[in-house]
Amino acid sequence: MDLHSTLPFSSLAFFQFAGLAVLFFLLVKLTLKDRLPYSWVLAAFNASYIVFLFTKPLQLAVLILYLYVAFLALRKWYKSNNVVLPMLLLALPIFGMKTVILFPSEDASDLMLNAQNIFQIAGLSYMVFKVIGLYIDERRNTEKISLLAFFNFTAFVPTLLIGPIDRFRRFEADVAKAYEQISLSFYAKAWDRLILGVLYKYIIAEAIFRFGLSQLHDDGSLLYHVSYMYTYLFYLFFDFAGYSLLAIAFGNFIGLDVPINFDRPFLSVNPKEFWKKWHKSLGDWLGDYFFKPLFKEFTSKKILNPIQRQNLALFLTFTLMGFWNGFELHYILSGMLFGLYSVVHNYYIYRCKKTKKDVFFGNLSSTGVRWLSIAIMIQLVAFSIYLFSGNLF
Amino acid sequence: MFRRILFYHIFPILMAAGAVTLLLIFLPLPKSTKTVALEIQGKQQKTKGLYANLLSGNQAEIDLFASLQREDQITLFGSSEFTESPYAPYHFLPDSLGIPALGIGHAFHQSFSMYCALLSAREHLHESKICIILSPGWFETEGTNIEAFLEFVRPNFLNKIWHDQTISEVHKEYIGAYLDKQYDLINSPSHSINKLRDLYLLHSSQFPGRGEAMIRKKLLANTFIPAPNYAVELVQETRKQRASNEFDYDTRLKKLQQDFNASVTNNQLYVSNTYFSEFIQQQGGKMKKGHVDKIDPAKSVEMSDLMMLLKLLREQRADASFVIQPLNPYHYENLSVNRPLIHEMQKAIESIGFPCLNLYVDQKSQYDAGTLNDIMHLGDYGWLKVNRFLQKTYHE
Amino acid sequence: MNKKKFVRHSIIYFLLILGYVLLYVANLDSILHPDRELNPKSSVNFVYQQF
Repeated sequence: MDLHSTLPFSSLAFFQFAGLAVLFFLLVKLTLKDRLPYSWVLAAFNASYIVFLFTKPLQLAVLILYLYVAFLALRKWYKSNNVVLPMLLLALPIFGMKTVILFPSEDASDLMLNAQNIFQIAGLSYMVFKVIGLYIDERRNTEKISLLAFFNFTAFVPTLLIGPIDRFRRFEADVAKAYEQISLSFYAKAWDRLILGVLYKYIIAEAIFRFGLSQLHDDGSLLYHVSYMYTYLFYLFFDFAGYSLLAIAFGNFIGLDVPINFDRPFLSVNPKEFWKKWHKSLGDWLGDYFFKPLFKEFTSKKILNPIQRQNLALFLTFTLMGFWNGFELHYILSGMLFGLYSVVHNYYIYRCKKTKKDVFFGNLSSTGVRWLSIAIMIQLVAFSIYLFSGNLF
Repeated sequence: MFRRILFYHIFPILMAAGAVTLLLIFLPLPKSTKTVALEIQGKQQKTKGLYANLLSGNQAEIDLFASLQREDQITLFGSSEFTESPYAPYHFLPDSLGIPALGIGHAFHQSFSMYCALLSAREHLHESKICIILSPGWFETEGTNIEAFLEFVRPNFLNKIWHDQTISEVHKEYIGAYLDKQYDLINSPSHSINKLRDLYLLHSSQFPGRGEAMIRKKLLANTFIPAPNYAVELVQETRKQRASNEFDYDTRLKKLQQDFNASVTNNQLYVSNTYFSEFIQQQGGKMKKGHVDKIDPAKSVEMSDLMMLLKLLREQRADASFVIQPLNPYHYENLSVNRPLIHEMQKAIESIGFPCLNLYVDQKSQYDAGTLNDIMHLGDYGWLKVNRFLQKTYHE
Repeated sequence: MNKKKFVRHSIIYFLLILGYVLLYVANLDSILHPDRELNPKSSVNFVYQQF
């Protein structure tokens, strides 16, 4: 196995490790179930991956400790209802990482290279988002959250790199019944997801990349940009959805039910539905931990009228998503564009309700509206994802 | 449960495998339209000097083939000791003695890459004057690295090896085994690299390598590999050759040694001042000490490569010679651990009847100061000793 | 037994095996373009150093 150079699902070595882990969990269930709590077994598994295979074990350990200490401290001493400050404090490592990335390695000073080495930890953004969610959910709760539980939640290997973004209570409930769930029915479910994940990521996405994306030559023409836009959209979907399926499958194999992340997103009829089907865990996270508190805050301060404040909160939420992807302009604009789509759609719903008629599609049949909406959504998403790709600027 | 697995997995897998097999068997494969024979024509340009690598194109390959074909020219293969020193044989022999000589190599050019380059010129090796400058440092590596291999074993060479039916499978599979081991480190491997690798895999019993190689053999049967043939025009040598007694080696050797020793003023290790201050001297007046790894000849990849090189040279009856370079015993403290390695190396070379100049010593008292410029690279004095050996071997 | 699931799995396994053969065993590009010459390069750079 390649020590300190194996990210989840990035090489054959990881799959070998995963295979051994599945066997390990099964053996423990069969022999030590009554004497050894599952959480300890899970911690041993997570720790062994981080210590032996993860690229930066020390940095990751420090990050987890920082997040745990910050979480405990905030819970104990920060009593205000305003969660912006705690969110910023927990997100500090993200700011560090996203900032140092802006400096190209070739011309960076030694100090900057060191900073890049320290902050660029694979999976950092996802980990921070999970912890922010945990803090907001548990800040009023006095129940102790042990380092072991915190570690298992944040460093859970299958979802460490790019999600899905899980919730602490759901995860804990799952851990409590994990031994039971290591069963044939879970294995069958895991296997179905595994083969689909492998097909998506290693066959379809790889084929799209090799024979599509990498073969396109930038001659500056409109045809090139349009071709790249659609090819990239499908490449990203199969790569990302495939990865998520693999993460879910791996979780299932060791008795945990990881939440789904993609569910036929190209059949979405509007932006709201799209974020329930595409990177669902991020969409839900942004809705629960950013949009809702923000909207509540706007409402309590009576900023603008209801529809305006809803739209503003929506726009800011997606702008935040852009920044979360990175501080580069293409990420930010892509997020803002998704925000704009949601605002327009929200206003459309508002107008329809107010006028009691469909202000855009008129008297078109519901099937017609549905298919036309799907077609429009694909174009809008493709363009925004194209901005996200960074190929345009 | 078993019925479910059978119905949802085993049957679908068998059906899918059958369908893919049928598809691949009956699908017509595109054929190449190119002509296989590739004539590489050119005139020899170098009868002296050095090619640090063969990346410059066909001319470097033509000069190597020409050098191997010429009866009067010595072709030298070596590594990091190949510099532009006037005493390096590819300069000294032509300039001072009128003997054509060509050097090929830089750091990391080791037994395996030399072996492959020579194998591609197999038909010209008979009585060809070839000198291999061996370095003990090679044995501390895992054999030739892939970058050096690709620099010296050019695509034309591998294509030629692949097409040459007179080269035994033993040699081709040996190269295939190396390529298989290094395969993940090669970006866009050529068809001949793939086929040589598969030749090895087809004869190995490892799963899934063998099965995959069988599939490739079927699917990539039509891939185009040109068959190069070097049509080399040799240049007329105009330098007049001098007899060995026309050059006073003893006087020059003495002077070079004296000059070197006088130039070393900042250390007692017989290492040039600049090398010492740059690489050996440490802060606070301390010196970095050297240690060599103890090499087991039976397990050494480099030793195995050297044996294949010797086998090739013997099979083709080349007029080969070897120089074993020393390491500086004033720097390295444990050179005696590799006495068996050096002994075995020398024995293997001499048992075939190839002359060997062994300059390796493991005691300070045996070291001829000035042989090396530093801790492992021949200096002018050392090179002149090599030149005397070469002239004696090939021109007396 | 669910027929739909059987067909779905047959398609998935077919694509998996075909994709594995054409992407990872034999390079589809080389099958389709047998004339294309490739220029192999080392994916690692060894540092040439003194010792």
